Amino acid sequence: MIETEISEQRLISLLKEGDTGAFSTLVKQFQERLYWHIRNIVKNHDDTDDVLQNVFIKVYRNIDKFKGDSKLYTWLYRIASNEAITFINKRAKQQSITSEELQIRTINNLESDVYFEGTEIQLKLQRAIATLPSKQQQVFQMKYFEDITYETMSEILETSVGALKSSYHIATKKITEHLKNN
Amino acid sequence: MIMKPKDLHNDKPNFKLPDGYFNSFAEELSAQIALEKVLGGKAKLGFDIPEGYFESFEGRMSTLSRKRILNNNTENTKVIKLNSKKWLWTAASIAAIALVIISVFPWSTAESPTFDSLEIAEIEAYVEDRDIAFSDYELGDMLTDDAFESLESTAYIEDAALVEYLENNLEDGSIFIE
Repeated sequence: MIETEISEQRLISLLKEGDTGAFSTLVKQFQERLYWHIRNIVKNHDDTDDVLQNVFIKVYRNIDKFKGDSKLYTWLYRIASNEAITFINKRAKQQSITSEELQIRTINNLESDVYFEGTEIQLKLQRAIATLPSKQQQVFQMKYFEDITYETMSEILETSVGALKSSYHIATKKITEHLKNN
Repeated sequence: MIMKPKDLHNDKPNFKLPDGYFNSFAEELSAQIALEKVLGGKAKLGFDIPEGYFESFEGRMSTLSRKRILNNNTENTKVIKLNSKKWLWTAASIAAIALVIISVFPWSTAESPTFDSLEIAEIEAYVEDRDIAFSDYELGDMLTDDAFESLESTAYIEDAALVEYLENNLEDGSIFIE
């Protein structure tokens, strides 16, 4: 634990010095987790790639603003969440539709997506998740697909553990009902 | 001495639990089981990624940082996407944006080059030659909300001009069939 904290601090200080090797380490260490976090939100691979790239660029350019009040991964997840949601909102605005409509459109396109190899039930699950309010979607996906603990999620989403548990519970029940009825 | 079940409960350590913990635990567990039952087990995402994607991503980011491209702190700096095949859309988008910028901000000075002095073909050639492509998200990132609104209200291309552009520039004619 102490060793991790020291190496994280060292990584941060090297990043602040503009060390490109440290940046590569950061990318290597977090790209997969952040990729799946973003992909859960934007669904499509190419869009995820765009957003992920922007996340790392923002991190690189703003590392000086990271004061160390939270863990590095918490900060990274927050940036990734914000970038993914901003992406969806901008895309929806460009297409003059709501972000909910965009999400439904994106899920409908999954069937023909070469990078979607899910079954019918997985597609149904995606449709069910899309019916939830944005925050509930995030909580459900982070818990169910990404196995992020409530404590970590609490830091990332700046919400109490109790509220997150309740949100996940409600989401689970709503999804189950939706799957039963559709 | 044999401990009775009651004694076991009495032997609990001094840990505290939130009020109604066991009730909510049972309810949460039951909801989780109901979901698994409908899904036929724990569902996976079903998303796939291109082979070697993370290695390639790492390489791209490493190239960007080595070339110090990331150092530019300007918020509106274009994000360069390598190895993209979206060049046609990009070229058309860049050309359209250039036209809109000219119409929205018709500035011109003798000393410095302006958009007026650039041919659309030159912009396209620049983008193609450098294998630069922008996703619409990246293009969107370059514009402010006000610029978007101006774009929506001022961007208008005559049908004939659009058809002529596509005829001259589109390699795949299938779009006309659609």
